[in-house]
Amino acid sequence: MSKKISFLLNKKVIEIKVADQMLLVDLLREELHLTGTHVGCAYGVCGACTVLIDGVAIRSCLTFAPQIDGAEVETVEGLSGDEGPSPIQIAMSECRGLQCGFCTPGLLMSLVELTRRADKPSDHEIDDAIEGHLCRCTGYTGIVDSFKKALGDKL
Amino acid sequence: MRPAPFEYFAPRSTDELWSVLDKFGDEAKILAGGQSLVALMNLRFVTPEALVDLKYLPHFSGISRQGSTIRIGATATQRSVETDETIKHQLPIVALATRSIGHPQIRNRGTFGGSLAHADPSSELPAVVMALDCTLVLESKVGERIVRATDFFTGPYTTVLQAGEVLKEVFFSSPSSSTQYGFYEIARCSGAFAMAGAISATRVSDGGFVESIRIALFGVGSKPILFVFDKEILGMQILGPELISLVSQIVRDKVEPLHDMQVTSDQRRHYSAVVVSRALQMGLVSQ
Amino acid sequence: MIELARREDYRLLTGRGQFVDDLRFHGEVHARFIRSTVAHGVIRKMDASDAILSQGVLGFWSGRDIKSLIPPIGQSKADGGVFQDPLFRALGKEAGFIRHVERRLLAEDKVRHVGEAVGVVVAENAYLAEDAAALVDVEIDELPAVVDPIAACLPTSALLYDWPNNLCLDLRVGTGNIESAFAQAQFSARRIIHSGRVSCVPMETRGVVAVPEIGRRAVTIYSSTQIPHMVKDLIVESLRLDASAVRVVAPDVGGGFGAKAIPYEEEVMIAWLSLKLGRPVRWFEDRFEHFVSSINSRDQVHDIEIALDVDGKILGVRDTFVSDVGCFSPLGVVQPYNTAAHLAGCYRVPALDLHMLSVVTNKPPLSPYRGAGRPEAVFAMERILDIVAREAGFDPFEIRQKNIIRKDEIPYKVGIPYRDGNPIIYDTGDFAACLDKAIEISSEFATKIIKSSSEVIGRGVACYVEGTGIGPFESAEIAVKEDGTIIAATGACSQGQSHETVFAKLVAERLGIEISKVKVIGGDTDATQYGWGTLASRSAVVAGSSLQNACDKIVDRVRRAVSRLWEVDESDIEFVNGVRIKGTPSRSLSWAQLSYEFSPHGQFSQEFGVGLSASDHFKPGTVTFANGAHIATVAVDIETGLVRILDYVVVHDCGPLLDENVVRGQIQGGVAQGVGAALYEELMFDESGQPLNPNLVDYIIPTRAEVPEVRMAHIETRSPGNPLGIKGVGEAGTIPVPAAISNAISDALATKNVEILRTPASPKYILGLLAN
Repeated sequence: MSKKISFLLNKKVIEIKVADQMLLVDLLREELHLTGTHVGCAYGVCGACTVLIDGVAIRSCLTFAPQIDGAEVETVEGLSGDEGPSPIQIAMSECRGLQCGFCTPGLLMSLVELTRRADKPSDHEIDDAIEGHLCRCTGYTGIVDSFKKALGDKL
Repeated sequence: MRPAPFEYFAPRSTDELWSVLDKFGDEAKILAGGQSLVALMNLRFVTPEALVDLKYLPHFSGISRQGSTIRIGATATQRSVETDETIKHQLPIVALATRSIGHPQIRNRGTFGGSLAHADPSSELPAVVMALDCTLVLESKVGERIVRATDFFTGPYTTVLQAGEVLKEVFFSSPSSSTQYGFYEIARCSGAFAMAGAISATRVSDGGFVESIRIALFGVGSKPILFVFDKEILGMQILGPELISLVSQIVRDKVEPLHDMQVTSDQRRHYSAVVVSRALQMGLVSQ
Repeated sequence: MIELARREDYRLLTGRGQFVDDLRFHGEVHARFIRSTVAHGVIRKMDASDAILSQGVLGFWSGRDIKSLIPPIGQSKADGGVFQDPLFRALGKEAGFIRHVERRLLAEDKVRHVGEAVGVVVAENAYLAEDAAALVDVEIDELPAVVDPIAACLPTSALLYDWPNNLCLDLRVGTGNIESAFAQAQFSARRIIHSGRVSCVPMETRGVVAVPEIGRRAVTIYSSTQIPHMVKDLIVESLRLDASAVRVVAPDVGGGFGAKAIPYEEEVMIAWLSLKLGRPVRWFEDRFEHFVSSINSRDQVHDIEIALDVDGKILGVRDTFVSDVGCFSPLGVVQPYNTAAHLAGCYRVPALDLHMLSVVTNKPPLSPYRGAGRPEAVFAMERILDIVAREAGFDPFEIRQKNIIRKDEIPYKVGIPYRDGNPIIYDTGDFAACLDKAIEISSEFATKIIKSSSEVIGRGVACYVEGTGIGPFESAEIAVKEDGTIIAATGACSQGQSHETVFAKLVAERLGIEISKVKVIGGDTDATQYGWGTLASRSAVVAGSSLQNACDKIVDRVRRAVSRLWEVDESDIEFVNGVRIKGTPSRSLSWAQLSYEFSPHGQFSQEFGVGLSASDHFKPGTVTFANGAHIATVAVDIETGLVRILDYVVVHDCGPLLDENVVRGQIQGGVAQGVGAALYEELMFDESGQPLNPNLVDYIIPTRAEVPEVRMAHIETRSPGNPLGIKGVGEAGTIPVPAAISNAISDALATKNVEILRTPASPKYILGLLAN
């Protein structure tokens, strides 16, 4: 079975027919050629597949494509443009928040959600967001520094 | 790890909902947040023929105060529950327990009702609604039925929900300022399932004596376990170390704990006493 | 374009990394393996008729289908030819024996672990492949499963292979007079100590894409691997292809840690399928598969005994240890021998008697994971040292200071060979300085402790040495292009170690050129003919040295040419953005101009040869030793058995730092994996060999909440073993962590007579000890 869906992807309108059982992460990676979002476990634990749906960080491996009909989806590819990487991506580089880079796009999307909060997130909220991502390379301290820099600079 | 094929429905009215559920019977699963269900489907542990998404039915959503009760719609996200102003002030224990579920990215999508309907023995919300003596409303094509939280959970991942029936909303009675709440869970690491946990609701008289204690344990048995202590057992005591010790001992002696990879049943028995004791010490009140 | 901290960052941060499952090829199809759900058995029946008829399926192959088409994989070259022979030559034949296993790509009759591939289906996409795989009906007659490695040694045990028993390695090595050591001992202690079984769990699982050439029997394989050249060798041999017809490329790799450091059956199978079907074939391992078919690691039980004299000096250590290698160990002697080689560690141990046994069981195969046998050695040694110290009344820090090898004793001969057959000689290092500094930094923390009433505090130390920069060689090929930019190709292969940045910096500094002009290519068998790969803390040392040597060859040739043809002294020539004469900056040539002068049109090429390029294949004589000291401060909740790490200090010595940020990242990341092994990670199996926790819910990887921010300091002593004077650091962070944390927990619980003797120190384990 398949469905026709229409949604915003990194601010562009996409209209596409999808199999009912297609996961959002596969829609992005296989059909729409955006391979920045990664699959680390396919059951929602590792966080590598995290994207924003209607501004909120969600596991794209736990979302079926038909579910995002009418929604706004943002992925890591939408964070940078012709003018180069965004300030949060620059912060992550400067603070050594990545080594192999596999978990990075998911983390960036969680960070974007935090940067859009009206109030500056507390340290606890920052930790909470990072704890939703597994990283096997960095030992997390560079990631924490990156988040704090990105959120500090925002003010 | 991709799911088997199924047909996706997103009904726009409850009539449409009942119609689809009728057609597929046991082969239909409700999709609310999907944070548990989709994982199981990706692993092919469950392979429903139909998935029915409640997203277009505001009937099941929302958080509101209705007179002396507070209503949480089944499809309210866990995130909305933990950040809702009414919940934070009136039912802080609910906000606290909800915040302990997984990680924020899961709670952004996972629903209050979904967690109840999924009935994982180690999840927090079933214990919350039992400790707070909530009322659940189940709806089907023939109408609504009310089930007390204490009657809702029947076994591991099983509830009284029948095929064609959907959890609609949960009602909390307005908490009094004379009730103190507590929450404590023991988990291996951030986001891990609890190896044992307790929600406590302690009603204290004007004189400072404990009138009753309700404690719901999660992660201990094959379903949440409720203990109710009234004045007969408690006598006339304040909520101090002696009373806490008495209560935790009773729980420890009576509980039938599971044995699993993480801890033995004896260790879980010991954990029951620890989580009860630490929950009772919390003393969280509504504002 | 904005300059980011690392070359790798731009594409990785903008979602344009090229991991193996990101690559797309026209006409590609997907493979899915069907895997045994039984740990030990014989395949009775396999019926794929429904699968073959399933939508979008191109074909199904079983072990019997490919039996006559693809030979089994013999012993891996990484294990066999190079390391084993020199070691056995050094030890002598009577030192023991090793048995090897032929690995079939797909099981033909017998299956020996849950997860062993028994068939493969290919379909138009991953969903259809998985749907079809679910339709393959496999019936396996179960045999008794061999699960406990000690029981596996009993004469009554079921056997995995046509061997007289389940032993695949029995090797003994030692030095000094162990009997005399124990006879003279004033104090001794003996314990059974277990390092648990773990999985590497890189965030990116394995994956292969094989792209056949049209019209020629040739194939390019993209694989998430640490060792592309070894993979190529295996595919050439197994599929009987020309070496010029096979190219293996490691694209962006999302972590390896050893899980990707052996050639796998899947790489050969996918390559074969692509040639058979004439289409690109993709395979991406799912997370369950990673737990049951990627290599497991550690899993050693030690019966270790230590002897001290009246003053607390170590007289000797005796250790018999058994490795549970699962159904086979592709790298055979490597991990257990690393354990033996590193057991004495930083200390003077005049007598050593080490007996290692490897036993096959019905579990996934076992191979080195970050640390590669050293964490197990340090865990056993540091625990028994702490235990004997406590029993004898010595302070655990002082006893180490007393026994630690001092700077003036370097070079220090341990008395047994390394696994490359050379005698172990600690060639560099100030072990005592690392220990003393770690103690100093750690004691600053003592006043800042906040704990709850049910917690007790403890502190533990562990020191380690690490043989790094192992051979046999690494290749570099550097070319100066026409426009003066540089391509530096290396046989090394990054999975996050920042090679593109670190090696570009190294080459740029050596050639006197801007770093932006240097491009580093790694992990491509077409870019360097030879190569070994990135594992074993070797790339900075060996690849770095080969790159530096290759640069020096270019510089030397230019220097000679300029000196001769411009008639200047070689000492007057310097390299700054090309070559120039000191004092006369107008007499200079940029690298672009030099490239021209060495081209067929240029002035230098007539006499000095065409082309400005050089290669080097640096062969280290043997390993060079890094070392360090870790001190952990923990809070143990005696009611729950949970452990919080309050403070974690690392003082280590990897010599001069090529890039301080990269080194810090390697240590912090290594410690995180060590914390995982110390407290959380454990692969569990039931009595029939069923894995109990092959998922990220029940196999616990530490999150940010569980990993402390390491307070670290570097001490730098140079290595005499390589032109860079450095030592490796990729594994350093991980090696002593379980030992330091377990020593700290045991310290906290000392008054309750609790000794941590295994990893992980789970709540179940700690509560069990407290209850007794």
